[in-house]
Amino acid sequence: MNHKKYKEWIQLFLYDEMTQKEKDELLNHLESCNECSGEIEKQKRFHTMIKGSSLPEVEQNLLSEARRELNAALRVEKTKRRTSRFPLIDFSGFFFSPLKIAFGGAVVLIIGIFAGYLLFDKKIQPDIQNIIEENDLSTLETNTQITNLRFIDQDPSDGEIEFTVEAIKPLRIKGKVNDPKIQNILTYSMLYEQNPGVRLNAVNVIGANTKKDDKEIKAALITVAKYDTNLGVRREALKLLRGFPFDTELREALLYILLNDENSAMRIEAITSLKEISEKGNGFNEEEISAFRENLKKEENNYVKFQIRTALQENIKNEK
Amino acid sequence: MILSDTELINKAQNGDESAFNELICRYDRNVLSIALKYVNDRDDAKDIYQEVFLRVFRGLKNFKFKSEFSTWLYRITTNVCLTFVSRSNKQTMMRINNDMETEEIDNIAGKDDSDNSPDEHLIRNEITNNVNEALEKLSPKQKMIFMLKHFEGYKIREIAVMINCGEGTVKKYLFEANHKLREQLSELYA
Repeated sequence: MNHKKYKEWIQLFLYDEMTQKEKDELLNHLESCNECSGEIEKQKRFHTMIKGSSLPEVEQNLLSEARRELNAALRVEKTKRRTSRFPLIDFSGFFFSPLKIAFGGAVVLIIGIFAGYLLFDKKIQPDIQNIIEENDLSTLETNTQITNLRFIDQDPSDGEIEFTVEAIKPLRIKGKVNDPKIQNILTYSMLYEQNPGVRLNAVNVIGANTKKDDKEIKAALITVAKYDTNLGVRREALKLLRGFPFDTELREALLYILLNDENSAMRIEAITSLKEISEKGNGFNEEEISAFRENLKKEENNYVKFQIRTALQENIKNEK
Repeated sequence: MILSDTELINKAQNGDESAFNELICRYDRNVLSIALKYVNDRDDAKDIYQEVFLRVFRGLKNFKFKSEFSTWLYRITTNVCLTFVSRSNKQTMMRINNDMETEEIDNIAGKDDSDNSPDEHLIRNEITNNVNEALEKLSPKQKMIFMLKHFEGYKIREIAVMINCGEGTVKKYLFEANHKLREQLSELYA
């Protein structure tokens, strides 16, 4: 009898990955086969043991760190993209022209001379040396923090190693709060600073001193209100957003928070803002109504439920 | 209003950064979870996570909707995991050892063991250690497939799409992984 097949099927059975026909055949077999009946018990114990092992789960802290580091890497990627966007010149057809062969040769010659100049000219070499010296740790100031060392080449067999580090040097900056450069730094801190207290301060300072038509600040505040891992920071950003002109972006952000934020205070803030805005304008639109209905299906907080029900009832009244 | 993946991708392809962020937030916990369970090291898991989403960022403009976004994303994730070499050349096995604070262990395990007795805690750690050691002895594909099935709960057909192979191949790797692990861990469950 083919026990190997049934032993494999037992695994699939425990994974619930069998068709009904296969299940029936297996169960019939198990009734008459002691070897395979014993096997199913062993495999059950094995599955239970594996489930009992505590492999790492993703904690919120780790996810937040990963997101922050990804944001930094994406910024570098975007900068690379921008700097590589040189206008493309269409040379198709040019090199197919036999008359241009001589020109091609000349270009190759010029490139050769230029490469030789780069490689062998002594005036260039000190510049390379300077770059190395600039990155010599002994030249860094004592208050520079070195973190995040990553080896590119850690094999010392050739006498050299190569690595990257992040050198963080504290800077003291004084300037006008409305200076775009200062605002850029604050926006950056608001989005990417690791310490939630610093992010909160940045939100407060920037929110209190920004013109309410600044689209970039508004977009940054929306990102913070939607995705910051700290409730206090999200909430502060959301409060500040109430002072900005209501538009599609802000409406989408409020709906997103209402439907997705795990904290009921945030959802309350979102529905309250939406209601206030609707009272000033023309009620709710279809998207908002459908988001409210969606929320009602899963909402656990009674106050939010009540607010949404009231909003829906008011909407029905207004329609009549 | 919740936008569909397709709508978010269309927006992101036109340069909408918040759409791209939202797309990431929809799936990144799963990506990190796969990476963390595969390498068992927080820093390496973050490296994998970052590499996956950088590839997504670079490739999104050419995404032609021939498959689901999630399928494409998880395929990238498993590829990056399978080709990942720890930069620090660390043993990627989970190090639940004496240097580690108990609290840290709890954090990593993501479980509240307050109801468990110290003995149960020790036993759980012992099992985890042994399971990790045994997992390290599997081939990368065996380990990945076993991990996706046992710890992430994906169906065999989903894993086949992620790994880009047939369901039969997934079953083969799964059976091999089960067989090897059972051999190595027989004392713990038999």
